Amino acid sequence: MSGVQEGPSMEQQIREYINQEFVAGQEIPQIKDDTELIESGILDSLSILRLVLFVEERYSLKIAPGDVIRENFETVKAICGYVRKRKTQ
Amino acid sequence: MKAPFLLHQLLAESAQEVPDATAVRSRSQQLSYRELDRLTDGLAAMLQARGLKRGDRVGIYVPKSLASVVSIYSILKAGGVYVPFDPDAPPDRLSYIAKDCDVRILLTCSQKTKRVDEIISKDSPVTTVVLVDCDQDGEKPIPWTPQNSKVSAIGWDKALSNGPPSADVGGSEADTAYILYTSGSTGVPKGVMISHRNSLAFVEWAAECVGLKPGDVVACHAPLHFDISTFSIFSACRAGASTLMIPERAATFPAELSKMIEAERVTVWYSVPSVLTLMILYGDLPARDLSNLRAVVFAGEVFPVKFLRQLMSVIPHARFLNWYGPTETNVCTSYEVTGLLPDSASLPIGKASSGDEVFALTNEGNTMMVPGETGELYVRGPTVMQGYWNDPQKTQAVLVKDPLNPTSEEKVVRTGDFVGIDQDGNYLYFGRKDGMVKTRGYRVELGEIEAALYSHPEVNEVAVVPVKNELAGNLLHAFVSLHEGSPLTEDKILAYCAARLPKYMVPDAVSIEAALPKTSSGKTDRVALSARVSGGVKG
Repeated sequence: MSGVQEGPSMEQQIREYINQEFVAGQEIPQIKDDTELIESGILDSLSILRLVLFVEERYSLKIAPGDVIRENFETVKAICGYVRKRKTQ
Repeated sequence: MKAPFLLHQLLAESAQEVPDATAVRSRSQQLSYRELDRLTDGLAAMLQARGLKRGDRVGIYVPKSLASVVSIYSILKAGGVYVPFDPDAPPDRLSYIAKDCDVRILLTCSQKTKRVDEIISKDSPVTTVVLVDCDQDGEKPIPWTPQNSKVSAIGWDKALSNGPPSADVGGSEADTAYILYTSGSTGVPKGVMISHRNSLAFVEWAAECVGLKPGDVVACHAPLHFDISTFSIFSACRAGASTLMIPERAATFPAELSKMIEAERVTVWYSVPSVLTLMILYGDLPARDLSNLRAVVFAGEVFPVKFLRQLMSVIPHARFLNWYGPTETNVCTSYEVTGLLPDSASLPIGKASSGDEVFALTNEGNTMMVPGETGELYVRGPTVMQGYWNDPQKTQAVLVKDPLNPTSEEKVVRTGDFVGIDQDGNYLYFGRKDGMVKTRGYRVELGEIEAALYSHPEVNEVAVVPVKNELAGNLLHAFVSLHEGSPLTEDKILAYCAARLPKYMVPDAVSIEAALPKTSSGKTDRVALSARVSGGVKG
């Protein structure tokens, strides 16, 4: 790991993507890193898929179908945790 | 055995024949047929005590759970008509529906009470709200007093303490059983009225077609306001099989869904194709044991053959059925996929089902007979709806005189769907003749979205165009031009839609334009707009 942080953090980038793509169309406040994304209905099956494609492209990794599960996607924090884990593997 | 002529008689029979079999399961909770029968007797009696009369409409506003099925049978047993409210729809739309069909009693559950307060505010016809908290095992319900002081709330504990419903409220197969609200082109949803006879014609045919029997586990993936749900609820009940209610949020992750199919030993699946496509791509299907799954049925949109083939190769032992029919007729044609089709082929919708007759008329008004012709599909028979609630004008446009038999009193449904026919007499779906599109399996009138956008005072012009998408069928892209100097943003426009339309109708993207392109005749050039987004909705 480089440890060098440039520009917005991963949390910020993913939060912004979700806010822009999925929250804008709903009458709810902007999300935070620990906002529950699934039970709250912010993300549905199709938006999860778009998020997966975004994360794959943005962070240059391939997400296996078996990894597209609740514990990896239920909050921005969880998504970043998953991406970091994958990046260090 | 007497032939049932009312939907809830199916429950009475299964409670007699297989009392201890599981009728419905959700998360880790379940009810046997005996329990479901007794519980719904009690609740039906309470509804009657609260003044419910035969033919009265009762709203159901619950997430998918045991409460969904308990509510349905309680209302039917009491002689009422059930009206499912989309749990994800904005309160304004639900208050409209409550007013439109005069819902005085609303069945809901504790977790929805905040939203209920919004729905029943002001001039709502609702006077009684019943909390059907049968899923909250041991959990104490949160005390709730409706903000609208004219409304009384009945807790689950009180709802339970009733005896069976008064001996016989009467009932005819011609009574309305439920009203399903679908998108309407003029800006407000319209209520499709389905009688017991309409529903039973499909329910019984479908149970036979799939060969449902005790021991089958039938997954209920669709929401209650989508007629796909009637198969997993009523056809399963007729066969003494079990219904597995899949909670909305459990369906978010394809891998969770496929895990549930494995763990719950689902034997019969019926959903829109896009759900199956997502499971093929992200459901990790090869890692699952799907040996129990013996029939996969899909309807509501066109299933791309390449995904269907992949599905068939992962579950080679299962039967695959393509069903077709608008809400106005439920399923009226069926096609069993037996061989492998080339990727380029389109899947036939098949031949008439549910005791219906279907035929297509060409532009010249002739019956379409041979491959190569195109015609509009008509449906005659027992599943044909009673009409749209409180809307004779729209009813007349869709329920028309039988063009093949003009002296007959019997009305047929003019579907607005263009079809062809193949060598074997199977119908092929070509498309719509109007502004209706399918997205995620839901039918959406583009005009309804446009009407919602036009209602904004700063909006000048609007056009919503469908964008073909492999997973969703179509995504929706709204083009909007604004009055000069308007500070509206794309996000604000989306939020405005979200407050007025159910989630599946909110556009996937919005573009603000200086002006919309016009054709030579001065109409909005939808073709040009479509071409602009044919590469896909951004994101």
